[in-house]
Amino acid sequence: MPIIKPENMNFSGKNLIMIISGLPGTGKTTLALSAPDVLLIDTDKGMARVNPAHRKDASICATYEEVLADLKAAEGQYKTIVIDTCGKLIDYMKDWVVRHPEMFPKGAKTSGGISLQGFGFVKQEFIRLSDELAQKFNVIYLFHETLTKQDEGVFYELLVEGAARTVVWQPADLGAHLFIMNGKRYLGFTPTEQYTAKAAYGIKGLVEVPELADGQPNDFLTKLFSKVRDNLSKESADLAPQKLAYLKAMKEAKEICAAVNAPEDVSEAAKALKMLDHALTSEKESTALLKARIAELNIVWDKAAKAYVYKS
Amino acid sequence: MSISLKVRITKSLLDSWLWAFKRDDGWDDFLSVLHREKKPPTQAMLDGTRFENVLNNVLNGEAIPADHEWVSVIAEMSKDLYGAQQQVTLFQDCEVNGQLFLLHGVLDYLRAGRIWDCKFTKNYHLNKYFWEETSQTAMYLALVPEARDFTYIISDGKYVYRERYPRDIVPPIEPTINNFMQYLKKHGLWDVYCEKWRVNN
Repeated sequence: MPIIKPENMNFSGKNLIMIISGLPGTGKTTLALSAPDVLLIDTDKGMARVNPAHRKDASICATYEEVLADLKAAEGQYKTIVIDTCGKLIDYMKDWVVRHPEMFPKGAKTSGGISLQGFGFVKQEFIRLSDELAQKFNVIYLFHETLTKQDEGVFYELLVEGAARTVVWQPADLGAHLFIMNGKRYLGFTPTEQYTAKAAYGIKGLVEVPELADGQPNDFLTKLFSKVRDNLSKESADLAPQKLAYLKAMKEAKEICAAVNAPEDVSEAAKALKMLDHALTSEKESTALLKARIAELNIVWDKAAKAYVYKS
Repeated sequence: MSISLKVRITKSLLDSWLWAFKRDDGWDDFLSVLHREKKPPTQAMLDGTRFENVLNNVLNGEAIPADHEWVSVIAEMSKDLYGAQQQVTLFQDCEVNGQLFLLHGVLDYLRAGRIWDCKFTKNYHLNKYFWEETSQTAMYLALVPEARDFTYIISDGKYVYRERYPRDIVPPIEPTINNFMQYLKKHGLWDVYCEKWRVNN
């Protein structure tokens, strides 16, 4: 495998996984359709509620096997897959596990329904599917939300079976809560006490989603994804010289620490570490390296003697 | 109020105060931490320590038996953490509203501008360690001003979860420390705090 230097890394083709959650009627499906070249996996009949001017290709699936077949057929034809809704996809996966005991032994309870082990298979399959899809497409998982009461307010929770609520966030690069405030729509990317979210690549806080005027292209997420890739490229380019300096400083710090063999070597080593051209966290890391080396040699600081000595 | 008086502050102390009114035994626990009373570790703490020890042993080159209960999650986590400095003890001066504090923390892992903290929990959900339970994110980013982000790497023994918080979305620690200081002063606990947590040069 060729090694690529940070300054030569290209993120223009990076696929993104994003979660969008919101209460019914906030416009999740229309927003998701603003991503580049979308195929909507419509398990929620969400397309019916979209303005015809903004509709895109859709696959109506009733089982997980049908979802997998349509995703396979979509390869090379679309840039983005929208799963509407992911809660329903998890239900399909549960049904699939229960119907296939030959593949998922003990996946179903004897009394019917999915077992604890079965849910483990669903979690694994969700992560596997996300990994596979992300190699070929951007992926947008849509979730309905429910409101739960907390101490002094409310919390917006993803509408999905409890055990899956955590695992669905794992593959996501970005996650946002879509809501309406004072007549305007916003995506909240920074987690708050009211909702979970995932900020990354410089996309954070509240981002307003403008209303679509007649004839206006529905391209909000296309532009957002483009911004993410630009931010990634810029961050990588900005960090490249720091990373090189960091690696050089850490290499030298390791050599300095390795040369410490007796109490009288410690002060010189500490001075030498300070003199290095530090970058990122190399100064703190090299100090920790020296402390570890001192401990390994059973050396301590003697306050009275004001010198490093062997621990008696 | 004297700037020459420097008091130590840790995320454990701040968290015990943040939780003082949220848990049944929260107030007693806060007073215990404020008075720096030694308490035996809870089972959850012991489980966490055992998990972290296994992880660190693997990071330090030890093999983990193939039939170990945590083999898959330890293997996954060690890929992220390989080469990081472990248990990095740090101090940082911090002046809040005219009072000098010494921030003190022990980072689980530090590497190339990134802080990592390992958590072992049976009841994980997203953002658990951000808003709800801890001042740790803000405190540790204050301890390492040159760090770009803070990542919680979490396991329940079966799965690995990651929560990465870029610096620019994490509120600074100073307002929390200021609220803590004002609370102690208002409720007659400031002197106790200064006595127990004073930094002797």
